[in-house]
Amino acid sequence: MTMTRYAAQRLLITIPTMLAITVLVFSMLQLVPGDPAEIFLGEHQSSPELLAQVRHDMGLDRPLHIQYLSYLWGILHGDLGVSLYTNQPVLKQIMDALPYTLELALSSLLISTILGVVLGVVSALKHNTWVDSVSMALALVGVSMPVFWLGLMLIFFFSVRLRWFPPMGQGGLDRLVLPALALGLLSSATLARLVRSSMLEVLSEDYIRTARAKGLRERAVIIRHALRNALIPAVTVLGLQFGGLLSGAVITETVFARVGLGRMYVEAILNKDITMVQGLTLMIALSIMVINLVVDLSYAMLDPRIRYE
Amino acid sequence: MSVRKNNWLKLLAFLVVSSLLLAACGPTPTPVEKVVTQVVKETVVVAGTPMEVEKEVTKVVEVPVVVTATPEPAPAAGKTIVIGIPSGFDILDPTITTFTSVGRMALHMTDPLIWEVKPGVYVPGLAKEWSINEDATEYTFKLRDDVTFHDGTPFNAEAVKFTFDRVADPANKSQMGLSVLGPYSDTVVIDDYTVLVRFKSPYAPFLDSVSGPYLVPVSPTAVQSSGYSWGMYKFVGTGPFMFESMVLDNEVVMVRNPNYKWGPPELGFDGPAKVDKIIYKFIAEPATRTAALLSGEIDFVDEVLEVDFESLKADPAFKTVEMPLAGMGDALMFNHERPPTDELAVRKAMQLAMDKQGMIDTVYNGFGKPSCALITSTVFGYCPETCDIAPYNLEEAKKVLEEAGWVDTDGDGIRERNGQKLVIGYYYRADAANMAELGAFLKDNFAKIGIEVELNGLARSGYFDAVRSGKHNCQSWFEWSTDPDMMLRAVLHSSNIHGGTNRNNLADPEIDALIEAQAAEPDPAKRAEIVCELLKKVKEGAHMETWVEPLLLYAYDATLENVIMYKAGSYPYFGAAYYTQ
Amino acid sequence: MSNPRMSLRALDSASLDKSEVEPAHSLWMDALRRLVRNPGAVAGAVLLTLLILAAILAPYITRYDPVKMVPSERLKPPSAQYWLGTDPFGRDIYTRIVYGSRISLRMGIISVAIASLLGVTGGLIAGYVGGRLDTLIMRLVDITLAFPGILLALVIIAVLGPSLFNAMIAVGISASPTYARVTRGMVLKTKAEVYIESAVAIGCRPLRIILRHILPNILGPIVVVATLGVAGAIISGAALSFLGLGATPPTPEWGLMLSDGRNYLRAAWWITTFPGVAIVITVLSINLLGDGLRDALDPHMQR
Repeated sequence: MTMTRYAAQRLLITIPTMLAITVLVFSMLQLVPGDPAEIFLGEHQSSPELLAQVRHDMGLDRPLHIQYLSYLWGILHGDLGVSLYTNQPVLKQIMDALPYTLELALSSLLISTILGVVLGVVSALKHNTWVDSVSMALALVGVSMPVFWLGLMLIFFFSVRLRWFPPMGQGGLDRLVLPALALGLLSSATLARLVRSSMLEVLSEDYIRTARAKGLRERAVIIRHALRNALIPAVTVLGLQFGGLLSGAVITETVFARVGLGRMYVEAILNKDITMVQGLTLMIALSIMVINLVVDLSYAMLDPRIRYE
Repeated sequence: MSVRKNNWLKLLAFLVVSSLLLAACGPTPTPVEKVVTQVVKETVVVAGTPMEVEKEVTKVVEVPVVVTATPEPAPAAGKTIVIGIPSGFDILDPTITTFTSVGRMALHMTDPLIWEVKPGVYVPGLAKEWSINEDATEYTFKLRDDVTFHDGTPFNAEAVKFTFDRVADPANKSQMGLSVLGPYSDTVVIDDYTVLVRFKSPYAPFLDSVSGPYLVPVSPTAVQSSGYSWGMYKFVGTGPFMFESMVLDNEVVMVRNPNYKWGPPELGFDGPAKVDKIIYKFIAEPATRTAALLSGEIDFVDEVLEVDFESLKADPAFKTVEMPLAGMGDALMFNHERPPTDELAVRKAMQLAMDKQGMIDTVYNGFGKPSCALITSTVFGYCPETCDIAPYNLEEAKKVLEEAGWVDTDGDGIRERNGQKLVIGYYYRADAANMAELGAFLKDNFAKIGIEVELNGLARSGYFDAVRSGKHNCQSWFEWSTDPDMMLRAVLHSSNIHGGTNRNNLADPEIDALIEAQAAEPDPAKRAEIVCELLKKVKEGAHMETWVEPLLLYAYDATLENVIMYKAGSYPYFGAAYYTQ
Repeated sequence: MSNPRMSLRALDSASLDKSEVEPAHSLWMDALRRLVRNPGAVAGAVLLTLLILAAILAPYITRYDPVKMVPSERLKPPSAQYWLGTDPFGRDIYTRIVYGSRISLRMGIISVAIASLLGVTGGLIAGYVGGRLDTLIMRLVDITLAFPGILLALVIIAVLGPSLFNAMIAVGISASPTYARVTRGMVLKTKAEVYIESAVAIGCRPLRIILRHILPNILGPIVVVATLGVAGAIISGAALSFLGLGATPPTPEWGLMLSDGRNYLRAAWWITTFPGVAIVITVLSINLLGDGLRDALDPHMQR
């Protein structure tokens, strides 16, 4: 099967998946106790009439299936609806925050990749030496720290003490460094261990031995043969980690006072803002699926033995 | 082979480029904008009435208006004030919003009809003069005729009528605005610059309402033409700053209005604002707020972390302000319809057992003072006589329970009666800051008299559902206001029970009558007496009890001058603030 | 049928799916021998044993009550009296950490139990039965994976209400897809082995085949994933506590202690440092043990 046909098939399959997601999110949110209208009115004086008015404006006085179908109808027309809580178009709000989440996710992915690959390769090459132990211990400590704690530590050290980077906000590379570091360190540990183990495995393969026997320089053996093969599992987890990064972003965005989808998501769930949660879930699910597709396609680039069946 | 190599190189190149990018942003230190050379600590001088503060809190400065004593140096132009705030916001329209934070921000882009420069002392804002009829049902405002909105349209009587009618219309879902508009009937345009505001029943607190940020005139033209953008991508008022941009739950940017000339001299205005920009940034993490101030990222911190306050106070680079909250400190509400809090003895015992000082020492890190009345001492109508009713007394509390038949017969530390354990269901919002600590303290506190507090921390949605349907015995309440009307009505009036804000579910005709009576009393002295009587009655019936009078803690750049603590500090105002360097 | 993503996903656990077709018991004995020779794994096991002992013996190795407030003793730095200092309510931090080990370990173990119960069952069925059921289950797994972990946990908690146990359920459910994937991959591989085919041929019942032949063979990798999962669950629990949606105060859960104490980072470093160190040590020791198990269970790794 050609790559394009494979990709088309995969994309086609996302349609029923997305549909299932909307049903799932809609029904799960119905299970969340509370009434979006009540949450909207919060701790302020409100008459039953006002409550009824708000429910009506939110469209919550219609039967559930009508609510769902009219939402679906909207999506088919490219309309993600209006947030129940802020009364603003969902798509616009998501698009406003998306670039900031994206830059955070991508830069932390970058940090974790570089750190993870370097640590992993070095410890595999120096297997069973102190270098190996130290870098793996470092990786483990990295994965063992709750991200909010690490974030606050980074702020106090790099912003307050050293004044190298601003502690908060978005826009500009300098504001990206600390949150990306907080988020990236965590996933770099997983990656480092993965790269290490697959590197070790690859190094014991016959073709490496052959390459060495051919008299290739050790560096060439490692870079041209071993590393490339060892990277395959690393690329796989990259796709998976993107989802994990979005989870981490929920907390990183709060600690570093950044705009972003993660925090928006938490707020939307807490406010039982059905349209907003739907919109965000669709957006995130879609991006995760696309990334996984890209990851799968990129295997061929790394390992020509892989064919799309 | 060659194809594979090519791809491999691409990947490598990608990694190299990205690491270069990263390296490029790595070692560049951020320029620190704020250079502090001034070492002398400024004294904050109180203009106006002296403080009616209790003796034990001598460090507390209660100031309606803060101005500096130093001779005014030339204001530094071209500067920005960046303010870190602790809570998020919804729509940037104070007449519609649910959030106090929006009131604080939007006040800069608008003007109230009148300004309250000291408690009960009003000066002209957009209105030059005003009069009230005898039974406080009709308010007449004569407006300035030289004011224009930021969009160039003139400010006039129609704009005032439009604003008030818009707040009153349920379709607009106004929150803060509606709750301070009272029994509004309508607004009559007498001529271009005269309006008559009418109420269905007497409404004395209206001057307080109209001097706050929630009933400020907005441009009718702009509202009508903006649609969804209104309050999100567009906002048009008359104030010293104009809306520039907003990122929801993150930041609001305002720029100086060069045409502004109607600011009251009492607040330090002599023309347009003295800085170019005001930026509000929402920083949820208290520790990050302090870090942002220390690193020069922001110039003003709203709600300083208590544990950081002393060190900021000692630092000559910063000025600090601590003032008592005007409103209702953390209050304990008792659901009068759910056993066992439907029983006076239980409520009374809990009231007597509230270790308010202990709460201040732990949850509030020593900041604040034990409260006496339901409202804090800076709110209109507060009376110290309430301190004599039901002071902290553990022994008395135990006695009250014993007399009511609640005894610990099985020795597990929890009292019971007829096989029923004395358990109180306390509901709180688990996702709100500090509420968990408060809950932990409550549990420990009431265990001392043999009451078990069951902590029910719920996410926002579940919480509102539970307390509105009355599943709770107790919940907390907190409010900002310089006038008692809105606060007391919200939590005590029978019109707000069963799902409204009166989560005490208290329906007492006498209390209702007192609330109506104070609202209808135009004479301040007489009104204050009624409020006092009401407060004493609430305390005697153990209907609802506050723990503390919290302190508002602010800290800011020492070179920033003329920050006004408007409305007893509820709204830090930067309209005429400037930097000395 | 098999998609490249799936077959590659198995590489997730790069070295995991190498479980050999040897009689189970000698495999385990070999593994144990290899484990004992791995200093990291031994260190992890020792630390973990100490933690479990501390959790069991909590009342005997501390002098104080983990929840009782003593305002007069608040914010005391570490000393002979309070080894690790006291928190803003005057509670001894050492005591709270010791009692907290019960909660955090339980948090990790129960959520992993939930995750593996759901995931392994799903994966076994999907892999063994195949066909429509396989597609259905794996679609469900895809959908679950499309929600980033903590967000799914948040929705679950919004439905169930915040509490320690609900946090465990939420973390468990959101982690289960990984187990389903690993299990399915392993089952597919094992199913193709000759001895399974012969078992089918002689007419063994499917349940018997799954329980007697397949499960023991795939247990190794799952144990490894689960061990590492315990560490992940403790961290996820801390994240939920940070959002106020985890354990209820005054429970001495480590994540909650860390989260509640974060305002005191500057004023009283000991409040957050020690619970943080406790988490790091626990997670570290579990991970060391997990890594050791992985190496031990994989014959390719002995070098």
